[in-house]
This record gives sequence, C-alpha cells and structure tokens, in this order.
Amino acid sequence: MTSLRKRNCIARILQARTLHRGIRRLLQAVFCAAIFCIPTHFAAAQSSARQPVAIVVNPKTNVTDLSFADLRRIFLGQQQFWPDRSKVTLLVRAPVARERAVVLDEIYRMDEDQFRQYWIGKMFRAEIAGGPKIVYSSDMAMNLVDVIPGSITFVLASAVTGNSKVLRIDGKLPSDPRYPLK
Amino acid sequence: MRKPAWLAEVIVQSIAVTVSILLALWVDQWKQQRAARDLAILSMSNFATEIRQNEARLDDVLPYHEGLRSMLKQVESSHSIHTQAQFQDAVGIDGLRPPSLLQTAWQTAVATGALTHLDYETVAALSLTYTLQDQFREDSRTGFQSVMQASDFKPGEGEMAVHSADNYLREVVTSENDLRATYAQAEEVLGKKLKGMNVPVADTTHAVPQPQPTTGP
Repeated sequence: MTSLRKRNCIARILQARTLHRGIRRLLQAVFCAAIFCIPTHFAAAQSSARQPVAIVVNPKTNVTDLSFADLRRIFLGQQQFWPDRSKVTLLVRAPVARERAVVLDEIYRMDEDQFRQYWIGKMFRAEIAGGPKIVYSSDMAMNLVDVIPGSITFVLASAVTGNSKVLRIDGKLPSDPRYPLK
Repeated sequence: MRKPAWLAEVIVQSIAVTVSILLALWVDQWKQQRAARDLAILSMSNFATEIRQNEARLDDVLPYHEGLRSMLKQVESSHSIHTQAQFQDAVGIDGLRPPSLLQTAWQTAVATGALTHLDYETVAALSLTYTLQDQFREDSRTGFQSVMQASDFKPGEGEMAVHSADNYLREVVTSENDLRATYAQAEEVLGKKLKGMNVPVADTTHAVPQPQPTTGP
C-alpha cells in the first residue's frame, strides 16, 4: 500500500472513530437523562394514581360506616333508601375523571358502555325512577352533597373539604393503607 | 168457529222465538257491559300505575333540582363564573334537564275509547293531570333551550348565564311541586273509583322499599 493510501486510510479510520466517539457520547447523555427523568415521571404518575377515592355523604345522613357490599348495592341502585328511610340520591362524576374510573373498576366492575346500559335497563324495567345524577367537578360534587338530603358521592381524598362527612368502607378511612378504593 | 190446530203451535213458537231473541240480546248487552267495565278498570289501573311512576320520577329529581338551585344561589352571589368552562364545572347543563314523564296510559285510553266508559269526575281529573303535565313539559323545554342559549356566553358574561339558569330552575322546581300535588289528587280519585268497583289497589306510592339482598351483575 502506498504511503498516501495509508495516510488516507488512517485519516478515514480516525474520522470514523471520532464520529463514533461523538455518537457514543451523545447516546450516553441521552441515556443518563432518561434514567433521571423516567423515575421522576413514574413516581409523579404513581402518586396521583394511588390517591384514594373518598365516599362522601350528606352530613345529616345517619350512616358513618358501610361494608363494601353495601356500598356496591347503593351504587348499583339496589338499595334506594337509607336505614332512616331517607332517599338515596347518587351523584356520579361525569366521564374522564380519575375517581370515576376507579369507581367503575372497583365498585361497578363495568366499562362506560356497560355502565350506561345498566342504568338504561334498570329504568326500562321500572326498577328505579331515575339514574344517578351527574356532577362535573369535585367542587360541584361537594357543594351538592352538602345540600341534598340523603345524597352520596365520591371524590379524590384530596378534594374533601373540612366539614364533609366521609364514610368508612369496611371500617377503613381513605388514609388507611388497606382502604379498598384506590 | 173452531180455532185451527196449528194456531196454538204458531203462537207458542212465536213466543219462544221472541223470548230467545230477547234473551240473546240481553246476553249480548251484558257481555258488552262487562267488556266495557273491564276496559274501564284496566284503563284506570294503567293510569294509576303511570301516575305513580311519574310521581316517583319527580320524587327522584326534585331534591337534585332543589340542591342545584341552592348551589346556583351561592355561585350567583360569589360572582365567580366568567367562562363557559367555569359554568359547566359549577353547574352542568345536563343536570338542568326536566324528568321524562310518561303519558302512554292517556294516549292508549283515547285510542281505545276507554274514556267513554269512565264517569265525568274521573275523566276530568285525568284530563287536568295530563294537561298540566303537557304544560310542564312544554315550559321546561322552552326554559331549558333559553338556558342552553344563555350558557353560550362570551368571557365575562357569566353572570347572565347563572341568572338565567337560576330563574329556570326556580320555575322548574315550582312546577314539579305543583305537578306532584296534582298526581296525589289524581291517585286519590282513581283509588276511590277502583275501590268502589271492588278492584284491589296497590298502595305503593308512599311505601318505603325494604333493603334488598345483594344481586349485583
């Protein structure tokens, strides 16, 4: 091989190595950034995902504790009156809210379509006079549950205001690690 | 002059035929009266069932509308609604809809002619009830459309939308209470008529359902 060719060959190899080193360093930087960012994002997502859903009733309702089975019966419209004979008014958050997703999964065990069909079927069979009432925000839910006798609703635990009456479910409050609605 | 032998037979047969025809007409008339009575009883039972169902729908939605009204007063006094999104989050349009009330029994009674077999007092009571119901439906529809239009406001004009919703709800709650009282009166009239005809009346209007066992899906 001539010296010129050797020199060209070496130059090309050095260029490739430099390029390779630059790409390698860039990849290392991206990898380090990913390692740093993903756990932070995941932790943030997990912290909001694990926030419990509190069951709130009108302050005058004479109930402080419900079993999960009783809670399910009330939310399914199978129990329409409280023990003191006041009527249950169910306030359900409108779609695309985390608390609604938790309630549909854990209490109703239905998706959105099944939920709608369920209430339509109950009204069609005249088992109930009307379906659950829709609320569009946690504030609206908390305001209405305060003024409607016999009402019951659900909000994220962080949205509960000071004077609200939060029910224990299976003897547990939302702050309990074993609370069922998370 | 001797009477012919066939005359007696003709007279006897004529009387027998006449009596048979009259008996058949009487039986037919009895059957028609019985059918008319059955139709009247069925019609009144349908009215009673439907009025109870409509009353239950009002009972279901009245506390919610009264609660919404109470909440709207707070929102109105706080002057905190400036955008459509705030209005939707605070009030929600869907909650302002009036309940769906049935009128199948009335339409069926008119179509089958059952009303002609009822006495005037009952027909007058039913006619008044369903007229008021129609009026409620029409007034609610008009009012709801006004609120829908008012809810499409520019930023900064939220107070008018809230005021419109408050006015509408005030009228709706008043009408719902009036209609509920009318249903109670109609049930009383129907109950008396059915009892007078020895028809058992299911008194479930004010009964409280007992807690039922869990039968989830």
